Amino acid sequence: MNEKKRNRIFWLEGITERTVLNSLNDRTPSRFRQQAARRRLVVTMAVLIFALAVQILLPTTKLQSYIEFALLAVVIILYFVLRKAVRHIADAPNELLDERQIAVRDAAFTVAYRLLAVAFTGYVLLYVAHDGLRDLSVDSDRTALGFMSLLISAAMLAGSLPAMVLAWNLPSEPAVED
Amino acid sequence: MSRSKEDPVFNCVEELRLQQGLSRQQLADAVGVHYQTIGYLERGEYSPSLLLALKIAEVLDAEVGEIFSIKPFRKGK
Repeated sequence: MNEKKRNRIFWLEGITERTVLNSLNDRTPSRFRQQAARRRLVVTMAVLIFALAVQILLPTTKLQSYIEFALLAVVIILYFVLRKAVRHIADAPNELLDERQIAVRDAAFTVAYRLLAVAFTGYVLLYVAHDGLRDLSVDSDRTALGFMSLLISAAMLAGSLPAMVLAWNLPSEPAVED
Repeated sequence: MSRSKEDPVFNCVEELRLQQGLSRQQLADAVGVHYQTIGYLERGEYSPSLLLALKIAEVLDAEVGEIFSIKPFRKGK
């Protein structure tokens, strides 16, 4: 009897069982098996998220709207690349992970949310600066996303920070595992 | 349990595994962990929980104290 195994969806984590298991068992070569490549990805992601947040303070032009959307598109793409680079460990539920994977994931979350506390202080200061500039008649709301880009940047940071911490800390994987 | 640099745990899992003719994947499947976890364990980059250590000992047909130690194993033991 052939019973098609259900592909469970973990709604809270935003991932499916098949995605996690395929990622964990993937033995195809990838540049992101090396720590150095993952760290470059993390730095790129951090710079782009920061750029997405601070660009609301720049004088507005039509070109800036295009840049804003391009930044957002690249950040979203890199978010999915980052998740795959850490084999979806940062997003997987406990039942799909073994004890070591749970330990490294939880350690990454601890560091990530400490960093988020600092980052959100920065976001509050940016908001105050944005509001202050509005009082001086510098209109930073003429881009397509406007103030929303600040909120999107914060949301992307919150969502991707555990994977970024994990990608930074995980050692390089050996070339061959039998 | 992550490995503490101050209190390393040494092991001879790889030696015993090879004696039994098992691959990392086979040992991993037998004890219910990912094959990479066996690799981390063998390289001393991860210290197992008591439950995992007991499972490994059962599969490798040895005592936990014969597999894991807070002192380095002598080669060829």
